[in-house]
Amino acid sequence: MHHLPPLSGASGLTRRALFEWVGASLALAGVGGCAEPPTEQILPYATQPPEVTPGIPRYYATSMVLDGFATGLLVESHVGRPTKIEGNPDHPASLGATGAYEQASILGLYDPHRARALLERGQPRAWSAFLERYGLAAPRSHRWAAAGGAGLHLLLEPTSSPLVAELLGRVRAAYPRAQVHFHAPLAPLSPLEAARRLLGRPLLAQYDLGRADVVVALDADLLASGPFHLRYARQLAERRRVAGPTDGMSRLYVAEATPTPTGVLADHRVRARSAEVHGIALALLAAVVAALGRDAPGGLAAALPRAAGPAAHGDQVRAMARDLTARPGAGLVVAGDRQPPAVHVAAHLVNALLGNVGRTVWWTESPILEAGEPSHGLGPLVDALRAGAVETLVVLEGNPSYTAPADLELPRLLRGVADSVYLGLFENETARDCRWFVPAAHYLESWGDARARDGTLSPVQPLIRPLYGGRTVADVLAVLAGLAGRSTYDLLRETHARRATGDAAAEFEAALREGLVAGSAFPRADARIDLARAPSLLGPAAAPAPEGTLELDLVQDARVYDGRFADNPWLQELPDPMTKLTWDNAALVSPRTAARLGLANEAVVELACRGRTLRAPVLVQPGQADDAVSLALGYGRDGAEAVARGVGVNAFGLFLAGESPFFSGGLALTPVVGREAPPSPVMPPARRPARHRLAVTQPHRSAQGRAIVRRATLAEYREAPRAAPAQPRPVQTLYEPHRYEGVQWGMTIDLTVCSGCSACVVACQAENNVPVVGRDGVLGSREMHWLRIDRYDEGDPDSPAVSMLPMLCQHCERAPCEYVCPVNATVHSPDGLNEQVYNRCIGTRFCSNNCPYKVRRFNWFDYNADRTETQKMAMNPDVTVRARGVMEKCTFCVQRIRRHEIEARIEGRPAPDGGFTTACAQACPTGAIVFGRIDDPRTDVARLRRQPRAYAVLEELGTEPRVRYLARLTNPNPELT
Amino acid sequence: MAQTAARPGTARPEPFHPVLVGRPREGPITDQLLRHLWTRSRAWLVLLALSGGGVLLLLFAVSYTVAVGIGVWGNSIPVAWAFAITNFVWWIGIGHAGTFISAFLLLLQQSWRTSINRVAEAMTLFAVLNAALFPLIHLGRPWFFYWLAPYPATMGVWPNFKSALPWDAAAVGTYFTVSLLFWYTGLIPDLAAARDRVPGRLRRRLYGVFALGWQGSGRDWHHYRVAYGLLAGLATPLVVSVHNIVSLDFAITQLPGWHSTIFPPYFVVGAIYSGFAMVVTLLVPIRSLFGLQHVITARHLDNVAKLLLATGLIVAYSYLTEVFVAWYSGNPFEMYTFLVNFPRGPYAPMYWLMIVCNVLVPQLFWAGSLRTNAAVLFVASLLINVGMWTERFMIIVGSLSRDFLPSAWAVYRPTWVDLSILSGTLALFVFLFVLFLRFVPFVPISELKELTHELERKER
Amino acid sequence: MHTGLLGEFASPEAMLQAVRRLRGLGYERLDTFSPHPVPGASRALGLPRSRLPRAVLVWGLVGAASGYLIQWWPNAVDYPLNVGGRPAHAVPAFVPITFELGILFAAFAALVTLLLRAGLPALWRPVFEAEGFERASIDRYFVGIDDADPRFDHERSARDLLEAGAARVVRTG
Repeated sequence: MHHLPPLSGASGLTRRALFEWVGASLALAGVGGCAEPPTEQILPYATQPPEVTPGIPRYYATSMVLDGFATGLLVESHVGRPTKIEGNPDHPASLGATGAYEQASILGLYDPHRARALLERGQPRAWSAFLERYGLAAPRSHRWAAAGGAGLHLLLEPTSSPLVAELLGRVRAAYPRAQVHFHAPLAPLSPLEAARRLLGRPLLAQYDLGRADVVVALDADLLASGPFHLRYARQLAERRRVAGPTDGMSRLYVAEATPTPTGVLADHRVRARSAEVHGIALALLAAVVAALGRDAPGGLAAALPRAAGPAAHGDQVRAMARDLTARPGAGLVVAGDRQPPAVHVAAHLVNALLGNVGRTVWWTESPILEAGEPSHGLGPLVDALRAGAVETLVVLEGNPSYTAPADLELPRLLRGVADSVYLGLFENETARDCRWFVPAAHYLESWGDARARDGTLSPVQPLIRPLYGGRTVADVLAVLAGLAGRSTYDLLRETHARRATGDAAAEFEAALREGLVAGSAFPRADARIDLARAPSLLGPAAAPAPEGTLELDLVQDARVYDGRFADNPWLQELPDPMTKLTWDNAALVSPRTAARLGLANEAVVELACRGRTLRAPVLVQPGQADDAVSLALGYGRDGAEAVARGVGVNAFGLFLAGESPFFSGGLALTPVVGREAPPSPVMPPARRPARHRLAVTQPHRSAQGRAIVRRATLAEYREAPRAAPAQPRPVQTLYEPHRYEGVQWGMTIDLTVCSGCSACVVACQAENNVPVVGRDGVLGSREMHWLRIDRYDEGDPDSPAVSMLPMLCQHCERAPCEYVCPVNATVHSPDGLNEQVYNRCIGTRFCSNNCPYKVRRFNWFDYNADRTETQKMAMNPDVTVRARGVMEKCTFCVQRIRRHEIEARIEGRPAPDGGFTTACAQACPTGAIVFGRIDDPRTDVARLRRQPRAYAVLEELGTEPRVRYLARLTNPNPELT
Repeated sequence: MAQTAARPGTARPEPFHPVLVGRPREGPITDQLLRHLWTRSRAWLVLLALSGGGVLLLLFAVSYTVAVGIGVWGNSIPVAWAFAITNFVWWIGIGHAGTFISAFLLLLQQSWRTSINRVAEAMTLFAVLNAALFPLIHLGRPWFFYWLAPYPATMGVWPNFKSALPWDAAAVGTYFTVSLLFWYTGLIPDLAAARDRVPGRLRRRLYGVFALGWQGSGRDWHHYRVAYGLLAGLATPLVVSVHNIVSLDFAITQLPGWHSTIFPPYFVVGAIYSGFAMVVTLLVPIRSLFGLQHVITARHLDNVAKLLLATGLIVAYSYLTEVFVAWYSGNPFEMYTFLVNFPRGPYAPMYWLMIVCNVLVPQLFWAGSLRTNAAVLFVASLLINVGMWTERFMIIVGSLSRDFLPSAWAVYRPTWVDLSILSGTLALFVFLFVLFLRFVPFVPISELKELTHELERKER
Repeated sequence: MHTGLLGEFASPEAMLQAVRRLRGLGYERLDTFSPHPVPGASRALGLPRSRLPRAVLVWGLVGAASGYLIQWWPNAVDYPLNVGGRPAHAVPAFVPITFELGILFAAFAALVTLLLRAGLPALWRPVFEAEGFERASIDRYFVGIDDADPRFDHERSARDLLEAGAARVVRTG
């Protein structure tokens, strides 16, 4: 990264510090991974313990927590430095896969912009000073101490941590009248609200897509967002992976406003404005009731015609209903978290009526503390603040000043609080508004625990000592609870001991080893739906918006989430899975709407909604619902995060409290003229529409009729399995083709299950030390990603059939890049890898010109010159850091292959298939990518290559790639085709 | 010149435009053709200063590139080659006319070549010098350029001779060396003349050294003519091979727009075409500046114009063939490149500029009056130079920017460094040429004398 | 020619006539000096056909051979690699460099042999001392008789030259 300032020397990584971390790792490496807090076991590296061998990484289980939900991870550690994140195969939220957030969090750990000092009004303070003021001497220094906590307010992110619950309990015990609030902008509230209304308790619906033949997602991005998206993606993929013509596929219907990875995999995607989804849900319910006839409960049947407004998209909805009713107990309707409770109620009712409940969907308690209670949400806090009833406000993580609904004016209120504390990773917007700032510890530096969405208890254990002396939420709560003396580690063991059934120490150790507490998932709650009350909960469907009025859609961003990852260069440069946009967010409009309003890409417009305005560049997005304008949250940050500052526009400016804060009608959109435009000799600037260049990595979405992505419907495939891919033609050659003997590596990618979620892209970047080139670099089309995901649109530009095509070095057996290299810097290995020899490369770039796949990447500058000391720690020591002026590209993770082979050789056996895979394949949630030996016909990859669906991209060029793609199959409803 | 044309008693009626106007005496003509070696001129200093400035710009831009990285250019993936290689191919092409005139026409015993061959050869040398600069600086790590040479390296690795780039290195290197030898061989007698004619000890010594002690003895001439003829004989296939090989840089790849069997002949013709254009660009001013209308006559202009027309027509034919073959092949990638990308793609204006300059402009020369009109020729030659540059730009950037996978398509935009290097290399060419005009006999005197006697003998 | 007598003539024709006449008189070690090659001079002087082309041919072949070897040995013998699945010994790919090196060697052979035959470089030659000889490269033509010539005799040879039409006769060396 060019624009990162280097660390100050003081906090740089000294040799001594390294040894301390090494010591820490030894401690972690001790019995049970982490029998003691690392600081207490610093060993000189001189006496090398048997379990750590330099060069051989070790893996530790931990969990990453997002809005209170845990995802189990395995973290690769090289002599004390965590360098790579993988999924924990045993963990229900991961099943071995990871998402982009998890992959990129390793860089977040080493972010040089993280806060380093405990501050009061910007002045450095010692931890002891903080301790003194809020712990030991709180009674003297604060009125609330005497008043049983009246005036003490705590604001946390939603949490499922038993440890935090325990400590909050203790704080409340000490100060009964203290108030606790939970806020996270994207935390799902309406599902719980719906459950509370429908079931009387705020239960959480759990889904099993693996058992569903028909899935209907109503504005629900099951596969790419939400705490269980990795699990759902795997489940859906298993039901759609086709091994032969006899196999079946589940069918996926999606209704959504802006395209998502879930929409990409949908067999039928209904382009509906978010406000329309309510009507669709009711229409679906009505259709199901109608189909059930007299089996349907009378009250409902009577109530529905009122509730169900004019059904938009009638045919599709009726088809869905017939599909669902045809498979009672094997269907599933899921409403999205952004939709109001009524939509969830309707979805639950459909599931209940069709007997899906108990099979594909059931309820459990929510793992979130005080889920569904008023303490969730900022309302009470804001009232207290307005009333001046807040003496001390302790904000623990999150970034409320930035993410709070704009109409609450939280920043102003915060500044009004005389005594406020903020614990955060960065000196961000909230830090600015608070008196005290405490640097937070990254989760890879923290002791803690959390629950997965199904309640599975997952420990959080540190991989490294806090780089900047950060503190955890538990640390601060312990201070308030007067437990300042106790280490969080001890408190954690205690809370676990309290739950232990047998040998507490052994169970704790086992939990740390496995990354979860076995069998700690919540049992199914038996919940009765009161069908009598149901109709009143359905609400009237919003009347269809009059023609030409626009809807504003605020959406979760696939890269920065709610803005908390905005300082992560990997995520900023990760092309958005759908728009391929980097280093920006943009107002997405459908081609038809753009045409109607006379808007083109990059035109700057002013969005006026609910009395607030915001300027954003336009990006025309095929598949977007007409008259719906989507804008991603999380950009336009102006905290101390140098990378995040000034990137994109802050959509929270239009984020208002209410039942559906994420979308609303009545959006006015006016093109901005002048100013931003550069003065031009031909036209006075004032008369030119303002433009903002958008760094989109793939401007061309049409395959130009070239058979790059091959698709077929399941029916077509069954008729003629080979119809999808054309028969490979024999390659004409004058010469004897090269004969490959022994172990041969290859890869297959199943386009049927690839949703384009892009986890593999970040995984590759993390594994292979792939540099970031910044916005200018992307604008100059110089991205360095070894693996990119191409998107191709077919058919109607308004709602195209979208295919995702992961594109990486194809490791051609007759590689065009190799024979043009004048210095033999790219040659073929005996096991079939196309090798790039960095230290031999002189940078003629001839190879790239002759690569039909354009997957080679060139080091136009020295991209590693400005890496700070901490950023260097994130590098994978097994992979060369490339110099300026050399070509690079995907290596099939050769470092992993060779390590695997060496291990095998030590054990005196040939390198077997399996036991390892490439970074992309390991991260992939749907298992679309398979890597292994193609010389052994029994391996998965060999079997997949033999499938009739298998084809090579541009095979007519005779490049004989080692990467084969499986044609994309869809399973559309015959009624609708 | 009419009366010379209609000179009575000529054995054979001379062609309309004589190759030599009048029959200059040897003494005076020698003086006229050598005078510039010892006469100063302000115009020359101004020209030198101007081009010198351009050379400094080139130096700066190149050092900046080497210091910071190729990233300061507009190149990208997919357009990994752009201005640098365009300039390279363009300069190499220009280099061709020199050798073509001096060697090929010598073998064909075209007497009219005499008075212009040295200028043409000098042009060749300077053009190839400029060209050779680019393969070097366009490397990601220029300081390792010598890895292209087969030498026992510590890495134990050798160059890959299946790649066209080592062929390039060999071809361009050989071409420059042979052209230099040929040029110098031709110079020796004139250097001797300069040695014996220029005033001032220092100058005499200097030219004396370069003349190597040539005494013009019959025995020396005996071998000299054989050697000169042989060099011409060697240079002629060489000149054809060089642009063949340069074209292979593109033809051996798979890229639509590059992967074409027509490239070798097409490039050679294009090269000679651009070369002759540059010859005209240089001769017209020299001719009037040094008042050499009687030595570089309308006949020369006429012939060069005819050659421009001929080669121009072949180039046009090549364009046509490319488009036809693309359509006829039915290959979707080829068809897209030639039927959509070039004429209608992001670089369409460049494409049509190329068509106008290279196909339409030379059609002027069907008219004899325009062929001998120095002004028209000069302007036309400039346009053709531009046209040939855009042709190379289209081939390289146009093809690269849109190849097989639309997902990888991108448009190339030059940066200020690209433009500085382009203008700088033009300046370097002028700079070298200005020096040449000042210090080297730029019309082959001894050959001219030989020609004079030959013509006189014919007339008797 | 080393030292002897030089006869100056105004035109190449006159010079050639003189040469023929002198050879008729039995002179063997004659030479001419002219600003440009004079057609017929070689025959008049009775010079044998130049053997320079043979040298050029031989060196050209040597160049071509070494050109092929320098590609074949490293790529096919010393360090063969699997490059794009192409054969290590790729005959067609080796043609261009073979050809170029052949030409290069031949061209050098041509110039070097010429210089050797003409005894160049030799910045000083006795003839340069002869007064008025500097015009031999401009507009004068000389016939020289080497004093090593068996028939050479100072007075007689000078007379012969004048009779052959020399404007004047000078001594060199």
